[in-house]
Amino acid sequence: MTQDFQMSALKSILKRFEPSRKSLIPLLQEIQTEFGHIPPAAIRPVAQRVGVFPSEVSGVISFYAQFYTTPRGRNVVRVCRGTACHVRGARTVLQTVERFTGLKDGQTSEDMRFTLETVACLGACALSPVMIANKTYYGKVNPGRIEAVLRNLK
Amino acid sequence: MKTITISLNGKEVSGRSGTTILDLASQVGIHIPTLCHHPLLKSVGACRVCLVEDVKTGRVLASCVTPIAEGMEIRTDSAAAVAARRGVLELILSDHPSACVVCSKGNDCVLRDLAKDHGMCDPELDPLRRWRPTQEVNPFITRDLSKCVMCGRCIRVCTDFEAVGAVDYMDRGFDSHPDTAYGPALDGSECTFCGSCVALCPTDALAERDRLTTSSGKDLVAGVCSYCGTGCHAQYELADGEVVGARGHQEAPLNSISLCVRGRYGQDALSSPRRLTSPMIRQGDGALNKASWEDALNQLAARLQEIKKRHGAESIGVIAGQQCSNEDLYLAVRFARSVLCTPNMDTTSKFSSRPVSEGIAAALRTTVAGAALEGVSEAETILLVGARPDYTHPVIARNVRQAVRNRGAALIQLDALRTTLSDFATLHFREDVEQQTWTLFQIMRELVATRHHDEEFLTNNVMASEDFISSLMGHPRAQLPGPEVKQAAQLLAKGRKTVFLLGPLLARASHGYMMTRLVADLAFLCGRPENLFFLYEGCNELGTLELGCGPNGLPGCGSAQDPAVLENLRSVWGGDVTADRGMDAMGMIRGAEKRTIKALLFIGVDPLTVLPDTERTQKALEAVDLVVRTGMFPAPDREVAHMIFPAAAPTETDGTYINLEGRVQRVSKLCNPPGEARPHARFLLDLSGTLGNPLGFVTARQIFEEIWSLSPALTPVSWVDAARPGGVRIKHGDLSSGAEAAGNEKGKFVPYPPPATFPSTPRPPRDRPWKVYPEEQTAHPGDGVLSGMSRRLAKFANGESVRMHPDDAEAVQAADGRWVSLVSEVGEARAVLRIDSDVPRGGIVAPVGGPSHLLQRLLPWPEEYCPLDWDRLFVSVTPVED
Repeated sequence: MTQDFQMSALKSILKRFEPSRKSLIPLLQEIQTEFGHIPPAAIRPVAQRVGVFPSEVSGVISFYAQFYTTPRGRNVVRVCRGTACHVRGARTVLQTVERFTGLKDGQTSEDMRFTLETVACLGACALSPVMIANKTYYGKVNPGRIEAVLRNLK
Repeated sequence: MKTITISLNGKEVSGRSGTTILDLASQVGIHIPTLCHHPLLKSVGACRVCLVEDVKTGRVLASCVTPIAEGMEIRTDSAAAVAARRGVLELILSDHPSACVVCSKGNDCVLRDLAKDHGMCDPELDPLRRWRPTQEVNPFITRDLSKCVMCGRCIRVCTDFEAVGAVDYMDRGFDSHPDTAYGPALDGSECTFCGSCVALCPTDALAERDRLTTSSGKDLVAGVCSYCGTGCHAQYELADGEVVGARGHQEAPLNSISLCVRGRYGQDALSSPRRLTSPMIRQGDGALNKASWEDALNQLAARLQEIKKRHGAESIGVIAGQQCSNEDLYLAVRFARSVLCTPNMDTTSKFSSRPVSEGIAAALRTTVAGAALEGVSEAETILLVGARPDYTHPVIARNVRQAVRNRGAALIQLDALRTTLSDFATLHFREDVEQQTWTLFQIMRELVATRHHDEEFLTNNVMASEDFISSLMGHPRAQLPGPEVKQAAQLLAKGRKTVFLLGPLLARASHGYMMTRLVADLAFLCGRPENLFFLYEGCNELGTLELGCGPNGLPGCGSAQDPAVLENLRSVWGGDVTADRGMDAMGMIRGAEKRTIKALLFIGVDPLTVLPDTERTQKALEAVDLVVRTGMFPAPDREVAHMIFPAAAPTETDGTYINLEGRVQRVSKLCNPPGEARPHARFLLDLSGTLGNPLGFVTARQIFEEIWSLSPALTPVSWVDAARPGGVRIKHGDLSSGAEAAGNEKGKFVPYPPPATFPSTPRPPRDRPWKVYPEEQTAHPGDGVLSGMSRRLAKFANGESVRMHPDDAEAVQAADGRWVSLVSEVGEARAVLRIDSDVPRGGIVAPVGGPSHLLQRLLPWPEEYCPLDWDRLFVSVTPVED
């Protein structure tokens, strides 16, 4: 993806939003949907469009866990570290994923295959220990199953 | 407004609805401790130190953000309030380093004061400490986030007060901290390094870097910044007889707490080790040797007398600088015209303001704007013509941003380049000066055609207004206006508060005079001529005009040819006063080349940093028998003077200065000049005495009082009043040097009919195809001599780089970061090339001022009585080896 292409895509997104402060978060979400993350080069154009300072845009991006400023892997694996999962072996789950992917919490592999994240609770305590790969929940996982799941994610 | 009564510490007090508890308490003299609160900033209740108790409800409230409500029973000293406040302080102190002994904030620390007042020391809470490394990523500010208390003062002052918005809160919860959009390096951000965040930081989280002393200054004394024509009121910190820091002042009418990067951090130039400390005399072998004042003055007097005897007084010229005080300038004129008896007296304003100041004088019949500059921040529309206050007058740029950002004002910019203010502009006409004359004409026509102009004002206050309107509407070259012109006309419609800012670029444009007159015409159509400001660069540039420091001027409101003025001066000065029209600065340099000028005295001017075509000027000056200059520093590059006398800085002597809106402001002597340096005025007095013509002044006040008693047309300005923050404004027309315009229809403004044909953009010569776009630099205002001696400013400015559009750079086969050679008609200069897609095609952006004085090498000498023609400079660009 060349820079010029990104800029023209960004411009067409910007045009769809009202030039007002309240557009800021929906606009950032849309950019993230389009690019997978919010490219830092987008901060100034976004600020200009909604009429705030670039630092304010950065402040909002860094406040919300849902916004990313670096590219994310094709597959996002989230491991739950909530209380229920913790007592049922979430640490082993995390270690298994870490060993398989070679990543630590928050990292993305160089080949862009995986991004690993931990979350405080996924709200599926009955299935603990739980992990999510992309949008699929995997409950009551064990190391063997985890590796099988990860192997299938290309 | 409703009045609300509450009980405060048992007393009934009332205030308007909407008043906060804190404000009401301070009105009645009850002290509530605060930390994040600052009177100039919007309260946000971030620190909770100002907690008070409402005894009625038992609630504890943050007094800085809680408005008073009927029936409140507030106690600031109840057990609950004090306990809550101590609890808050304990939490703040728990993760604050207990390093007060080695902290440079010293007695200025708000947090330490609070701890002391509450008898607190290291709290017993288990600290959740986040030690972070101290960051020193720019020359001005040291950041130590472990001392940050998250009060948000830096963020609020940057966003709301400076309207720059370089910093905001980043991250969340315990990790949150103030930062820029792209991380800790302020350099790549919007930051202007005004330093207001450092000034307001209650702790040492933000501190000034590389101060001359690590402690806070011992004394604070009032002064006026001398870096540009804004004339900001500053409080100087003194330690051991040296200026070690500068702050704004809340009472200062124009700048308040703001200063700009050079005003705040450039003061280190005053104590530069490179300051001249004793007179220097060139020896036979060309070397400059130190001499005593007595020897140097005797030698100088003898040479001057000899030259005068042999070649006549007309062979001597005096050129004064714009950083000289009124007293210096007055003495320079008096010295030239009555001691030396030469009419050849001028200042460097010739190069930096004359076409515009003449245009304004002819149109408005005064040189001083009627309104005050503070009004800029309340404007509804601001028009910038050739003005880049963000680079030349940063505090005025702050007013512009405040107006746009906080009050929704419209900004219309006429400028070929993008500047930092372009982000704030509603309309940006990116055109060369020649096209701007056409744009201004189109806007005026549209204003009249849509009847948006102020007809009543025109009829009552402008000479021959009907003829003017018909010259506009009946113009043969009229065209249908484009959408941008239509929008501009709407934004300038009558009734709106419009401010016109003309900048130094205009004074160096070949059509500067016409442009000035056209903008004045536009101001008449809008009914706002009082809001027409010219951004004079020199701190006393207006003073040079008001005091008649010109080939045809005399102090006290008159031209040298006015017999009444002359008679008055003869009686005050006694003896001979030359009234002839002399040569202007450029005329004297030409005279030097033609060998008719035998001696030149530069008062506060280093000729090679100001005069165009360095090569030719140097040759011309080398042909002069005697070149003398006074100055604070040795020449940055080449020295042409035969004698140099060390001068005192503006902070080292008493004197008055006139800022660009006509404020006479007095600076008192704050400290002693280094070594044997003396004020320019002292030099002139001593020299007059040595020449056998003592002028009899002992103090600056005596000179000041003589200036203001010279003409009955002047409203007297008192020496005492001039020392107040903001000084005294001279009123419209008081010192008018626009006497030529007087005579016809008294008191009315003079319109300028649009020209029959508009100027066209000159074609570049084939061998020099690139048009130079000069760009002022914030760090190097004016001639850049003083700022060049500041260690911190020197580190900040990349003064040597030029910029080109990527395609153009490719065409000349030059790459980003490589050196290129620029060759003009007269000279060559080298600089590092930067690629920038914002540069107009076919152009190259070159810095003005700065340590290498690049532009001066390239500019040819102007034609007789013409401006420097910055807009007609073409160069060839070729890559060179590094």
